Amino acid sequence: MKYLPFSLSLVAGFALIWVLSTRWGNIPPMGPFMDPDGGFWAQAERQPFSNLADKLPGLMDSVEVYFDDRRVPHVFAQNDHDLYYMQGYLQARDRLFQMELQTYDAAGRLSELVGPSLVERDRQSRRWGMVFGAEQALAEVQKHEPSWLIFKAYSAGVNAYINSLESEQYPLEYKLLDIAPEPWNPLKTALLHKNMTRTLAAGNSDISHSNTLAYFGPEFIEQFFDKDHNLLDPIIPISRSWDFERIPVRLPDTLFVPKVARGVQPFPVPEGIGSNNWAVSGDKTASGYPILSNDPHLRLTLPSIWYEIQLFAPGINTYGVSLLGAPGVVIGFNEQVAWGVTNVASDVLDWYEIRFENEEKDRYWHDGEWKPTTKRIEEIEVRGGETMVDTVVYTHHGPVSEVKSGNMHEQVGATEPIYHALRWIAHEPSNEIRAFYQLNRAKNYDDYVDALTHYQAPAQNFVFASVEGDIALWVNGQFPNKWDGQGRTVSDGTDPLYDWQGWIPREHNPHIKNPERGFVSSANQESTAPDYPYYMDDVYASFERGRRINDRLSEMYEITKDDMQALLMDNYSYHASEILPSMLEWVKTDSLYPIQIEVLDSLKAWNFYNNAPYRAPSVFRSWWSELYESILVDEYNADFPLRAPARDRLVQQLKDNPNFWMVDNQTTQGVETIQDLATISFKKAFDNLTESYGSWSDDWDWGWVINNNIPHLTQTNGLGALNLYSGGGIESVNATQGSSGPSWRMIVELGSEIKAWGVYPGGASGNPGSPNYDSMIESWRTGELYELRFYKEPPLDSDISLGQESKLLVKWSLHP
Amino acid sequence: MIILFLLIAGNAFILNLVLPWWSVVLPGLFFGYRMHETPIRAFGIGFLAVFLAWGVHSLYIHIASDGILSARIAELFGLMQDWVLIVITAVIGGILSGFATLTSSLLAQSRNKKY
Repeated sequence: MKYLPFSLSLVAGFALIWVLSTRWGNIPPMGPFMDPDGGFWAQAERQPFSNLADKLPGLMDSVEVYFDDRRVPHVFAQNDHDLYYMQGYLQARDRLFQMELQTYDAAGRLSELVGPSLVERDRQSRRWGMVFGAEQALAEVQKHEPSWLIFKAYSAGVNAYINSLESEQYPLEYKLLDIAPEPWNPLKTALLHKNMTRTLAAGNSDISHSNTLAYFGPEFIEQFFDKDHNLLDPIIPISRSWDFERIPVRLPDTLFVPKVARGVQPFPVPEGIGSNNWAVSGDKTASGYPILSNDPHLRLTLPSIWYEIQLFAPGINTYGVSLLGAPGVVIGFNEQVAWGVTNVASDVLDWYEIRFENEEKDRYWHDGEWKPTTKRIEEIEVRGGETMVDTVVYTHHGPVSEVKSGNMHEQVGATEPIYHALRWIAHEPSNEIRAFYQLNRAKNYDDYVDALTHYQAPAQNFVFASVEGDIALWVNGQFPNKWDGQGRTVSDGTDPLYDWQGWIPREHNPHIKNPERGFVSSANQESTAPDYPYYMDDVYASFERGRRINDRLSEMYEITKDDMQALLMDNYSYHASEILPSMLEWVKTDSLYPIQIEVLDSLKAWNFYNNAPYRAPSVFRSWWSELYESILVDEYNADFPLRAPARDRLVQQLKDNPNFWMVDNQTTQGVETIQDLATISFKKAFDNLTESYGSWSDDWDWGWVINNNIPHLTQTNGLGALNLYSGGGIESVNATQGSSGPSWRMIVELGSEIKAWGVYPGGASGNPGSPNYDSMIESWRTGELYELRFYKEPPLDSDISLGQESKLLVKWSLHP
Repeated sequence: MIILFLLIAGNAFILNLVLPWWSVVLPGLFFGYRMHETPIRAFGIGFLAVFLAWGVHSLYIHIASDGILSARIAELFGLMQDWVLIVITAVIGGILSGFATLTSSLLAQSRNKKY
């Protein structure tokens, strides 16, 4: 009895320790997390970033790294191995969690980290064959000795950093999730590329297009999806002629009609993922040398998708942004050339309806015979749950997913499972790192063209400019050679005529060098005019950004960096200028309140710029989306996905024929006119804005309504940058809107002394406890650019800060 | 009493630098057994010692880092004020040490009892 109080206290103490060391839901284990020495407090950066001289095992020779005032590392190595070893080490040091998260996601392993909530996403990743694709790529990389060395050196660098970590040094996110980093390997680098391919080249509307064709008929397709907007200005100027015959392909007599399917759309890509790039020739610039500019638009997150770095070693001196998890520079420049990328929306992903012999799925019908499948067992480990086992069946097309059937008209009851096989460029053997390896070292146009031949996916418009004065743009990637319309709908998996029959030869890819107009540009619009001999697809960005850039560049001369900067931040809305005047004519003012008339007047006075302090862009956008909705709502009321017309196509249609058949709401008795819809939708827009932002005031500023938020990668509260008062719009050159926008803005002025400027919404460090976590966001928001410090030789010791006196440069001297 | 307080606070701080978070219970366990305090006082002294050790430590980090991270973590936990985070940190440390000191003082007391 006498030990009872002691025992109770002891048990209570142990219980306390257990409670504090356990993760409750999303709440991290509070004991280790709050520990001032080892918990989150350890990530609160409080030491000044300072010089260092140290051993780094694994290096072959000594390396110097100079960190500039934005903490961008400039790596000076004496061989390729050490260069990429350091890139791996530094990226891991600044962004380890991001590197791991992206590759866990690509591999379909997120459930391992967070539990059952992400099992479905993981399963889709497995069914899309992401790891299969990465394995194909890695096999290809190993065939090219220099690439394989880089992969290994980079991995070793990442691991050197991981191995140096004690658990209290783990980045914040590891502590929040109560996990530990795992060793890096080259497959993860390949997975990262597959993740980019999924972000940029997984767009497809095969199922919805098939359904739309079956539901509305071919005339509808022609009207809304085949024709281009009359202001479309393709990437390769219309004047370009093609002096080759296409490689012929055999095509089926009639188009296969697939079963109507609901399908799955597991990886939706929001509009706003696009990009701009351009280069102007020396004839149009004040300096007489070309200027190149690029702003890739992506999901904006903290930390940023990009990592800025200078890489210097014998045979290479390049500066730009790299992806976390991959060696080399993706967008940047060297002493002779500059390059940048925008996405190509060509169709490199097709679904095939598969006929299996039976539910065993051991054989499928193709080319008049039963062919064997292969199976891949996918084990999805689930944190706090049972491992899920999924068998993914592979045909020669690719991995198979089961999709749900959809019902159309009286054909109710189509309940049998439908199987779609995925044919996707991401499953092809490829070695993109080799392309960047060569591009980073390119000296002229020919080197650039040669580098591009090694790049397959995700296809990009590679813009180029050189000190020699060349400008060029290649629509570059591996493109299947398709018959007209092939893969636009779900394909017949049994008929070889629907297989990808080969590739467009690289030299036939759309491209242009030194065009007469003195500039090249791209903004994700159609690659070419219709006379280009090959079929590449129809899901390109609306015409607006591309047209605006070309309009502006055509009329600009004596161009300087400041002109390019202004164009990067250009908020003009072609969309509004095209349709708003008509909308203002249609709206019936007699039923409006005085305050609504006042709002209308502000629209009439608007100059079509999506600038932050204007209220008109908020009203226009809300009005347009209500109008769009009200036109489509009755026709598009189906329980299977249908493909909706693009914004610019509907605008064109409304301008040509305001009362075309879709305007009338078929579910009502009377006949609605465009005047009715315009008025109703205007009132709705007014009500919506009033509900969200209060009465007509500065709170309606587009700067707020744009809803520009940059969340943390995991959407964790407190770790993002929210409510950034910004201008822009998805149809403007400055394509900021919501959580998408310019993820890196760069201008490079070629010349004997290359000058460059850049900014991205984030900072070098991925640590939320570092001042460098979000230090560039304000400059990014206001359109400022930093001059990039591009060293042609290692900086002098006199530039290096001693103690805290000067913040110019911090030097790390590392040796093996 | 002051001595016990200083011994626990100082040793907890030092141990925490080299050992994991739960090591802050060790000084309380060790010194609480030797210093004969009543259970309530033992708990109070143990609590206060690490409350202050962790509180001051985290307050120092908060100030030295301009509160950048504490503001974010406070928002993450839905706290209105950053300083609450420091209090929570201190309380967690304090409670751990309080129970440790209490436990060992109760053990010492029990061993001295006849029945």
